[in-house]
Amino acid sequence: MIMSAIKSVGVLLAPCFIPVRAHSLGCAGIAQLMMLLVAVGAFLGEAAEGQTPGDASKAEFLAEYGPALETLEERCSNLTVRLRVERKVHPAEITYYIKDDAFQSIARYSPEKPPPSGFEKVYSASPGTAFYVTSGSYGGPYILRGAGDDLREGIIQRHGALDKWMALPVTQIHLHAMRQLIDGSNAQLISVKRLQENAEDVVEAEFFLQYYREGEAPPDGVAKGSGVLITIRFFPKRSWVIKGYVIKGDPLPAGEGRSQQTTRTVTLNYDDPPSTDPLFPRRIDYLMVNRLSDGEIIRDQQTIFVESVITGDVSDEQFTLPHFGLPDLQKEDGGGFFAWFVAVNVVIFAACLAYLLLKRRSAQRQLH
Amino acid sequence: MLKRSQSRFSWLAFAGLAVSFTALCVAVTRPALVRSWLSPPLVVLVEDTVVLEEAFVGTIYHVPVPIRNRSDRTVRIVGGHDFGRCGPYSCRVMEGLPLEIPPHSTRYFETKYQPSAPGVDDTQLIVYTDHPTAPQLAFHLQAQIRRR
Repeated sequence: MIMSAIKSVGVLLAPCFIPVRAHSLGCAGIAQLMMLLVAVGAFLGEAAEGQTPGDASKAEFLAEYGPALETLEERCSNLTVRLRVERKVHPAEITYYIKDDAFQSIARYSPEKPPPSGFEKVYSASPGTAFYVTSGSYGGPYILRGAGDDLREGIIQRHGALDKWMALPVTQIHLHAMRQLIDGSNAQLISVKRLQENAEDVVEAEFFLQYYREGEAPPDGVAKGSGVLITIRFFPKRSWVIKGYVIKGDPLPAGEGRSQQTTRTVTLNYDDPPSTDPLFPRRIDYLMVNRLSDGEIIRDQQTIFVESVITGDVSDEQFTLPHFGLPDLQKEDGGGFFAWFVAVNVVIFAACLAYLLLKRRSAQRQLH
Repeated sequence: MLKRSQSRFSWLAFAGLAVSFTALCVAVTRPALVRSWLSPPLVVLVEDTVVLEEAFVGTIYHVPVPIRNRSDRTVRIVGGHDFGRCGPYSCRVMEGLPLEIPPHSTRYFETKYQPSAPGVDDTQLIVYTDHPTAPQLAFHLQAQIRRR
């Protein structure tokens, strides 16, 4: 702050002191010389700092938002969030279970408009396992539709990521989505603006998130360096909760030689005055506009109502297949047989070796 | 006579040493291979590859896939992974699940198969069972797809 004040004063006054002559040095001359030194100092200071005002506001944002994000992560490390999603296609009640790095969504579709996969759909991804199950009725029996380590990334990217972005404003999860934007190697903070909206402070941060990780080759049909531009508005004075966000994507392949460009706009509506837990909104308005390269426009509009938020109730068992009445997919590895196999071979090996050594010794004795 | 039998024992001892040493090396370096050999799956798909000789775009086929339970208890087929249902040539959905198979018997489940583009389609599908020797079994569904 002081440095920038010196800089501005110095830069403004510097031209006035350039024609300084040695013989004119008196009190005024000394003052002129000092001002000249200030101007030089300001120039050197600017060169040393090498920062633009934009860089300073970004650093300031990260310094303020970093600790706020950590607090939010702690508060949202064990959550059950029930939502009612009103939309034209497959209206549903969705429950999100979050425990540390584990994430699960259970969608219960309206009986009037269920999707072909059934009345219930569960996506689960945790560090130990990932699976996808469906059910033809509410509460099971469940059918396993996919499981395994290779599915985890797919669930997080295809379903989890999108759902997380849906859940993000609701739960203020930030676990992956916001952390990825702040720390991810494929994410970049572009700009930060401080605004006033309805007499309330608002911070608008713009990020660019590349579709693929740094150092990896882009997936088929994805242009190099392409990704999404994410503009998020925060309420800095309300624990940095999200006010809304816009995600604008670069074109992606959409099959049959077409490409699609998707824009998602989400607005959060909080209780006013704030409710007992001001972290969670009451209603979220979601609009997705998908522009296809042949001119077709697909719109998806949803209104999401937050029915309840419960903290601390989620256990690790929630993220296992037995929780859904399904077996663990651990293959019987013949553990007992394996031990016998090794033991028998060790005994044969030792017996044969002993026999050959004894025979050799007796042959040597006979020679002597 | 004694010498000959002693030399025969020596050969046997050498052979035993070599075989047991090799077995131990394999057990140490490839334990998974040995474990699967010691505990073979008791639930198997009768065919690793199910072939549709000729399939036409737009037609729906119900392909029966036989699965055999060689164990002494009832086995439940708890699901199937159809890899996102649709690929570049076809859409497929495993139907009739979950399915129970009594001991030492064979049952069929159906895969609904709908070709969408001409070409040679080869899709791997996975079946999940509740038997610990065969928690998942993979098979291929192949078809030569033509326009009618």
